[in-house]
Amino acid sequence: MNPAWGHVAGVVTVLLMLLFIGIWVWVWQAGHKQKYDALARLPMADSEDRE
Amino acid sequence: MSSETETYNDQVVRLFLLAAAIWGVIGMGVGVFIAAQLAWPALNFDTPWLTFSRLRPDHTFGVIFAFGGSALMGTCYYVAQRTGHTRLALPRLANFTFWGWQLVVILAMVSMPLGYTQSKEYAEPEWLIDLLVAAVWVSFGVVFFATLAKRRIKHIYVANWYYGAFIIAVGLLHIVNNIVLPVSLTKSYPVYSGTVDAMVQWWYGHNAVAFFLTAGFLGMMYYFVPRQAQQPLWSYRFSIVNFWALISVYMWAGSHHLLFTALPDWVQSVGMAFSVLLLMPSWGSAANGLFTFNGAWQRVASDPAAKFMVMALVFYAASTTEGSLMAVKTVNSLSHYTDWTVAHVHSGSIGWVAMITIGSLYAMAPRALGRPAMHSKRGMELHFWMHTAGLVMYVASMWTAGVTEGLMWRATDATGALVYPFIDSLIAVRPFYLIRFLGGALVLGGMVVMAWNLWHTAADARARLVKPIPVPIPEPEPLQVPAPVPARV
Repeated sequence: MNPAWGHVAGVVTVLLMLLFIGIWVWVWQAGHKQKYDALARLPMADSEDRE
Repeated sequence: MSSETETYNDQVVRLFLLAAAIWGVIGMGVGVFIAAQLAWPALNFDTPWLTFSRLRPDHTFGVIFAFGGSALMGTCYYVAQRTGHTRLALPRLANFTFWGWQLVVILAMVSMPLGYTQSKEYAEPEWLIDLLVAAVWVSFGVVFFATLAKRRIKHIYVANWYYGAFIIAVGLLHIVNNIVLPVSLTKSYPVYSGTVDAMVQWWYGHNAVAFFLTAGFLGMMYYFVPRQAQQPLWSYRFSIVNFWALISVYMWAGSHHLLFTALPDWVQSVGMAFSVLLLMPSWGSAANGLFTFNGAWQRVASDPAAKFMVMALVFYAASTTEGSLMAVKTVNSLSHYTDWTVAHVHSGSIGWVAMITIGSLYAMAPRALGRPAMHSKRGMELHFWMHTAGLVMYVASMWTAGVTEGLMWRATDATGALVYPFIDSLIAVRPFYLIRFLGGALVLGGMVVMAWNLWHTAADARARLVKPIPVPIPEPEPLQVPAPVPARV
């Protein structure tokens, strides 16, 4: 196999790692907090009128 | 907007609920019978369609696709409506997915014991049934995504992400793995051959575990756990990270089913590495679910549905840990082809899949059946203890049997010759097969209790007395131009 594939594999690994870290950074943005807090309570609404 | 109130469509949800209860009993009933055959081989009665080899696919298909599939489709329709505050789209197509899926299951479970099979694990039914599966599955996807498209809540709740991934991935896996050349109405040959065929099969087989038995049931978990705990999801952010991690890692782990085979060694190592990585998103979701109960543990003590959910999450964490471990080559050299694999898959299926399903069904059923609670709380409690006791008996006995087999098969003396003939290992594990049968019978008994309980809870639904539940739609905001000046405070 061409040794250049080793570089490709390395670059892809770094890119995927950055993507993974990027997802963490993205979801922890302060701007999302209010929306996520509301969503975390969404399943509780189903039985509110019952209890 | 029409003048009549929009209501949730729970009719199709009720049908799937009924189907799940019935298929649960049938699928596990077949399982108990074939477990008895392993303890008492005379039970095959020298009848071809009653042999273990013919009935085992009926057990796996019955439990995974009939019981699990019906529960997944029913809860998916329920959750998509509740988390989008909208009525289910395309009701006729939704009804087709119900009747089509039941037809698929019946055709498969009749044809397989008669000997019509592709001999691919978890994909045994022949090509005509596969085509029907594809048609039902695409329709299921259309109903689900059309319902999401008309949702009133802007953000798509995380449970729907899991359900969506489950639908897309299972459709892809099913179609790719079942590409065959039909030679008659009842016989076909796969287009793949040799090692490639094996790799395609286990890419499918492992991802059936990943996207059917994990992603789908995580969708259930992310909705019904916060709902039953009456607590917000512990970390919504963490659920998003875990979603993307799980989805991107699982697809590459399938080759761990083919360690020490003709598969190229580097492909085996890729599967092993990704399997170990899988620990993280698996534990992440399990922790997210368990931490959601923080501050509500008193509810768990008094609510059998919540008990099922907590135990399911514990077994999810435990069996994924075990799975990652077993994918490591050194461990696999001991565990592969033994009953340890059987223990692992049943701690995942009886522990995680069945318990999260039962917990979710108990949580959903009263609401969908127009009752304040299940008919018998003591029945639920009894079911929980029967199921848990049966699960522990099953898993512990098969772990012991598996390690016993692994050690006996690899034992060599000073000359390098095998110490034990194969028959010795069979004789050694026979007591454990008996315990496994008893454990399975307890689990099955619990399912009968659930079916009885659901039947009584459904009394109003059978009499068609259930009033449809209105969709909560906010009053329209007054459109005043220019906008009113906000009041001074």
